[in-house]
Amino acid sequence: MPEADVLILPYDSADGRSLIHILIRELGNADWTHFAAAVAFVNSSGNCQELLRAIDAFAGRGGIVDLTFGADSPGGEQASEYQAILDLLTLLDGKQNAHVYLYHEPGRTFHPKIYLFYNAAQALMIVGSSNWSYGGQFNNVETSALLKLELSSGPDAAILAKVLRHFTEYWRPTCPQQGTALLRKSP
Amino acid sequence: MPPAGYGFAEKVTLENLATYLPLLRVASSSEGGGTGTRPPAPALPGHFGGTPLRVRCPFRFRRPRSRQVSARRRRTVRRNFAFTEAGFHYPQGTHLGHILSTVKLLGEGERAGGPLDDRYIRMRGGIGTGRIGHYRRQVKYKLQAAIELGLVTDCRLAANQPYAPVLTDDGKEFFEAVFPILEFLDLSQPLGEDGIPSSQMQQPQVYNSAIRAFIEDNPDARDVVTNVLLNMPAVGQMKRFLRRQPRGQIRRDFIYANFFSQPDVIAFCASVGIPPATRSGAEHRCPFLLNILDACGLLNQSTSHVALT
Repeated sequence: MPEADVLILPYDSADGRSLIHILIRELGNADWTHFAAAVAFVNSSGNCQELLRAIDAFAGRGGIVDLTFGADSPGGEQASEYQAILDLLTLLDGKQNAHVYLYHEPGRTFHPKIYLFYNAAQALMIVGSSNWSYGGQFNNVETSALLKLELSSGPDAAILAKVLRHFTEYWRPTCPQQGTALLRKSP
Repeated sequence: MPPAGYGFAEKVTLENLATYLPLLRVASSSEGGGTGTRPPAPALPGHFGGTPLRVRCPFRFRRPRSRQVSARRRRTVRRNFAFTEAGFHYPQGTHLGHILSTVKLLGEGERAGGPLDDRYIRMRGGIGTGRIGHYRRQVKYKLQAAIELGLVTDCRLAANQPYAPVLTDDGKEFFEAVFPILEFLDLSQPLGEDGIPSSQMQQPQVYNSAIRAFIEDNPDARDVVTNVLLNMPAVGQMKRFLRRQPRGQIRRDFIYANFFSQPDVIAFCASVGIPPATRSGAEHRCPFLLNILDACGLLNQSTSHVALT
């Protein structure tokens, strides 16, 4: 069974343990080789400078970044924001190992909030309610489960494999090489 | 063969980001909050051409947006009543086959020379005599029902004079949603020897069943269809009335005898300025409401009874 913890914002934020804190911390962890996120919406408030710098550094040292955001509702309050995506693309411009995707399916809202760090041996999956915004990552009342997966364990590897399969099959336009080795491990 | 659902994600770059602008919010106005229903995103031709993963949902969700739209439509109509008739609010002489036929004719823009030609439309005043008068009355009944459902522009609004029925935005959405069954259902109206169409169609149950089966297998269409059909005020009144009865079979004659004496029905009639239907009137006006509930899968009906599902 994975080691689990729960993040409850903004109460944990007051203790210096917001989702932004965790993302920055994990992006700075040189053990991770991949950072993937599938998030319903992104807005500029979520692109805090410290987080952008951490993503830039992660990608700069060869980490693979794959970010998928929903593109569902231009007039809605929770629609992904053009400027936020532009800022991310500008940050990641020229980095071959970093990609941003938009998901748009008529009649179905893209609504996951998954932040995933992994390498060949371990993974940290954060699954909850937090969008890529200041509110979602710090200030709103939000909850997330943090699952630490040991990929030597079959059940843990199966969890990661399932999530990666959805990234590769549904949430990206192509099936990048990353994740395929881990997928082979799945039962 | 790609897996179902594949194809709804696309890589975005600095070079192509502007292409996706119609799907994105330009100004930041919120940090988050609720997850209420959003307006639909506009089409982006040539993009996101995936294969939807169909998942049958056993639950029925209420649709806040459509209730708001419906309420707004009803308020608009009530405020602008220059005239109204019971036939708008409690349609008679029509069934869902007629509604589908009307939507198809208007959706395909085939009104001229057909069953909904201008010469057959008389929503106010005299309708003439003989066969053409009879058919005009039938057309009026059908259009009144379609208007009340919000599918067709309202002839009671000053802005729509002189009146030429066209599909509303809801009507267009409905037309697109049910288009597959419009293709295979027999919606024809045979011409008489005098060249005047007949409103005779197949039995109502044919259309109820077709809609019901179609929306059971098509969640997207179900949302659209039920939003339209179940938001008609009289349909809601009938649904509440039936739900107040003991579970099991409910006799039709009980419905006809009691529906129009329900407090909410009486209040609604008073609010729109029509008298509640008599018992014999109820026999003509209740079946349309029951057919809608049947088509939406909320009840089963026989010639003598109905039973909520």
